[in-house]
Amino acid sequence: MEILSVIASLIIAVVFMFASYFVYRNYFYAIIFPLNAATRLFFVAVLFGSGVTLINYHEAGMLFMKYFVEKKNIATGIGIYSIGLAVCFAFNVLMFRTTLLVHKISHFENEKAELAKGNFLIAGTHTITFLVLIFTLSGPLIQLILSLIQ
Amino acid sequence: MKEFLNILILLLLGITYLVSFTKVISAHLNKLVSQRNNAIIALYLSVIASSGIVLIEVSKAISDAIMFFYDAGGIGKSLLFSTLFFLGAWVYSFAQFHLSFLIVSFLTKEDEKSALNNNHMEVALLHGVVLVILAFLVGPSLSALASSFIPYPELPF
Repeated sequence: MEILSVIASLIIAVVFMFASYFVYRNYFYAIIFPLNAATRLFFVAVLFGSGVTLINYHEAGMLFMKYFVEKKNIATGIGIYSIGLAVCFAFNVLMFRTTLLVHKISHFENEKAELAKGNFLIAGTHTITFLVLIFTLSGPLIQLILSLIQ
Repeated sequence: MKEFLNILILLLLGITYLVSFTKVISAHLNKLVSQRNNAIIALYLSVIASSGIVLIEVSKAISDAIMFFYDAGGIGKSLLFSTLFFLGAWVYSFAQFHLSFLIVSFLTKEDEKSALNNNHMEVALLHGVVLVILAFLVGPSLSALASSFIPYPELPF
């Protein structure tokens, strides 16, 4: 049972992070290719933030999965876990878009042009905004997902 | 429903907090220095990061207040308390920013304004570290202080 849990966690983490990488990569590669230090910083922060949401959800999600596995209802367990995972993924994308929106409201520079120039001020502000939003909202998001599952 | 309301309020407060704080700090630092150099960028990012840490900590109290008052049937009070806590966090972050200048003046003999204008990274990094450590230390206490204003019912034992 524990070995299955480890393997499932590993597969989920790899799939989730790869999916995040491919989704956000398009945005960053549209700015500049190969990435400069500023865009790389923001890109890494976005992947880190996505991972934080996954970590917060995974613990509670695996408890649900184990419960359904013990009830011999694996398909329901996987289904419910996957829905929660999809919500987390959508939430990360929404937070990423919100970060860009916050920048549009608070700064007047063209963010893509500034990131392409390697502006660390813009990259740093984006990074901090994204991480603050993720750390502030990922806890309540998990509460929402769990209440929906229950 | 209350969980959704919680996320919505926190999202709106978070966006307002970050936008208003970055604008105020940016205007403040523009008065302090004549040009943007690496030192001032490092200080600016540290200030935003420290205010973010305070927000993350206080958001736990805001979340508790929203949940508690929603269950008690007072959405108005949920909004009132969350706004007050949010304002408290904002004011504290701003006060911390000003206080950190005083602390840094004790730690270094250099005139900070001219040091920042001369792109003195050591002073900027020292200031940034002071700010972030202050936020990490005071943030949880600030959250506990905010939570103490929520009128939880007293347990009989």
